Amino acid sequence: MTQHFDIIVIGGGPAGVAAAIRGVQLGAAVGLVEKKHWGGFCLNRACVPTKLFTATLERTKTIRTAAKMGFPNAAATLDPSALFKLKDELVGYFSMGTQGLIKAKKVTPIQGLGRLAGAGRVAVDEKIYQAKAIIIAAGADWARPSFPGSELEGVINSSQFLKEGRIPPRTLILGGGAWAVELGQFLNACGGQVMLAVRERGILPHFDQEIGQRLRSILKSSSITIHNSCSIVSLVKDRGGLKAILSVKEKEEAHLFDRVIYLDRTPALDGLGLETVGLSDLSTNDRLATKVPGIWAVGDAVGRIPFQSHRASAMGIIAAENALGASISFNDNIVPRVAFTSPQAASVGLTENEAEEAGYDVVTGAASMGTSPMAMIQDATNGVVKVVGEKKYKELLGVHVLAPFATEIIGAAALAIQMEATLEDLARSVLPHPTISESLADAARNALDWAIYIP
Amino acid sequence: MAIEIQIPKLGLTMEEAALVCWKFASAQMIKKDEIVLVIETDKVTFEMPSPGDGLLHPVIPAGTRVVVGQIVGYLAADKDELEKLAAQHPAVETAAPKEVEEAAQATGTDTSGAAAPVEPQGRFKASPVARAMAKTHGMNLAGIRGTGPGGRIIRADILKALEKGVPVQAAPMQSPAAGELLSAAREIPITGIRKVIFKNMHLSLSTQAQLTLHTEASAEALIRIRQRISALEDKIPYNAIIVKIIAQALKQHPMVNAGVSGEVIKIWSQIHVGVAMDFGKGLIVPKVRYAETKTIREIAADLERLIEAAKANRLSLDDLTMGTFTLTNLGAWDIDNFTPIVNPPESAILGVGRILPKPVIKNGAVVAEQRMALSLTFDHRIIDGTPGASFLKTVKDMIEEPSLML
Repeated sequence: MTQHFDIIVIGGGPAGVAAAIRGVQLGAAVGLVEKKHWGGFCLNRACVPTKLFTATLERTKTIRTAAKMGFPNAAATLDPSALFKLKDELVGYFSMGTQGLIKAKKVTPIQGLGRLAGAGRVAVDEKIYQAKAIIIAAGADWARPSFPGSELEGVINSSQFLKEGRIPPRTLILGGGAWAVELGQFLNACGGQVMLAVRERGILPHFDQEIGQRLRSILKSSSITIHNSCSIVSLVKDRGGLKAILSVKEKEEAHLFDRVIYLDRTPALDGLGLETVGLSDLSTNDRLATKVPGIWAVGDAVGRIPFQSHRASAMGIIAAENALGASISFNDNIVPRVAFTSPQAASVGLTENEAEEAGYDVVTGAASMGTSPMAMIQDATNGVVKVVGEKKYKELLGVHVLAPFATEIIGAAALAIQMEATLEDLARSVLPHPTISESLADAARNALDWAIYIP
Repeated sequence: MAIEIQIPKLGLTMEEAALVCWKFASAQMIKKDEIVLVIETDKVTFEMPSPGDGLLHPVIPAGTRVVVGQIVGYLAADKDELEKLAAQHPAVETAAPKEVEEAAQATGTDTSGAAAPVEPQGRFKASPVARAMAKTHGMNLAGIRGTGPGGRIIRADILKALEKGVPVQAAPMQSPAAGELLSAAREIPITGIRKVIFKNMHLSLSTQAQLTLHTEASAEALIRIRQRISALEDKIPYNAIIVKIIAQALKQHPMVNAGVSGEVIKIWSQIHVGVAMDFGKGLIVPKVRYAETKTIREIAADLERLIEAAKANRLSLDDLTMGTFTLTNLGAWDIDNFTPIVNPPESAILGVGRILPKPVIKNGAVVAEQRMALSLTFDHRIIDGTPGASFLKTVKDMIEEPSLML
């Protein structure tokens, strides 16, 4: 007998779990299909484990600077096997936690590979389920790059790296996004040699240009090599490693690596059965509806970059509400971007360039970490807090932070952007001292021409 | 013996007034002729000089209605006498709220905080940017549907409303959000002369059927006759000549010098021409009495006295009541034709515009001539179109040929 649901969600990652829980809260019977990893890519192979690594990176920094604070014998010798073991424990724990949460919230879990099987039908392995609405939260798959030699064994993605559980002595990372820089800094801190091959002219492409430029100059002072406007001409096995010929600003150079790590991902549409309902892609309108009525799409599967877990879950909530009769627009502009680099970068709303392109009469204000007492205490004075606003209504359009705790501080800015705050609102916020966050207010004041603490 | 402070009779018809405020505190020393109190009738605000020297002992509080001859306070010669007075008549507080406000206005202090209007009743959930946008575009949030979290009015809702062309609120006073869009910098109580103007203007248009006729006259002769008379003695105003012309024209058109009294139309035997004036304290219309019997120079002298009295706030009720016709001259403000409002119980008013050179055709040639606009409003209930037009024609003819006055 076919089982009926109000909503079936395909994919048990951040988007799917949030959608399923929200659906049940609104009175729907919801089935959640997950092929293997409850909690999805984020929990199992991305955000959560890699954030353990950034915490490790911070810890090594702390230990290295401990002598200055009066700990002469602190030793920063990392045993990677202990770290990878802890990673496995944490991931196992969180994945169990997700399954427990799903049960507690009365979502019906369905283990197996879910795919569309015609209108209102979802096939999981051999079983068919029926649903009034289907929310596709199938996530993304690795996209192996294509260059001569890209098929070689040593070319791996970050999931494979996590599985290997070793720090390669020489690593080439493809790309200059948040994740690439995070991983590069971690490997570097663990004693590995790291090179970033970046197609674009700068790093952190989804951030305000100023943030990327500043982080790049910080990285330059470490032993990480960043090649911009760079592509791989070829890769061959050489002396137990991989010899890469790189084209850097149209000049070729050769380097030896043990691992080449790629990080590109693409919506996981294969095997979803889109053709059974007449869909060729998962493009959606602002309410996250696909072109076929009753089918909604959320998360990485929709293909909005950069892929981020918090965007996915926010989409999941709205899709579930809309599937049950609401009409809520998903506003991508309020989704913060974060990079767990050192120092951290975080951003919400429009960059200065985006605001200019959108036709705003732009005004910006910045508070440098060079004058922030907390930044000095944290020994990270090369960051900045920058706000982007417009002159007509004094609307706050974007906030961009490169500083310790930036990924936490951006929460306040995300609230301000979501609530459509003005520069004046931010300028008048009373923020605690001494913190990095207090620079939010002074940056806004700077945009209004009355910064208090900027000399 | 204590001096009594009595409410004066300011005009023939005055019976009562409002005691607006005391200008001194209880037991304060006052010299003769210093302003001791302010009263207000429906025609005038009167600052009353002290009848003598002494320590003030007010017995009637500000804000009370008083009658002519009523004793509202005393002036004591010394402290002993003040104590005796206090035993007989308890003193009242002189610092009435109104006085405080007036004092504040005089010194430019803002009392709007104290006199602030009640809080707006409605509250709207709207984002700061939505509010800023609504303010910029003069929109009222009341008519806008919020689509943000919890029904919050957000940027997109305002943009949508702007696209649809939501009208700016013509009468935001009626909406609960008015307090957010409009706030009074200062509140002026509608009392005294302003109250009279309120009542009269509304009474005028609500009871009469008013019609305004416009024409234009050559002012060449008027300018010449003014220069000639002024050359003999003191300079005279145009209004003196125009009042005289009006008086003479009214003699020829008695129907225009009339008023409605109950079920009858009364054609007055006297001609009292009021001249509208405003010295920053509101519109007042003091009368030139028996204008038909006076020479232009006598009328000029009357006008001079009335202007001086008006500036000093010393016009009596007799100066202000019982007119039969009004002249209003807006020439000094570059106005040409306009639609004056009749000053009830009168039935007609002549509006005079500026004098300026204009091209006119004479003997087939365009020549420059000094011209002035004339606007006559009258009560069409009692004055038909033709007699009204005929009166205006007479006025125009006399302006153009002053010898017709003879």
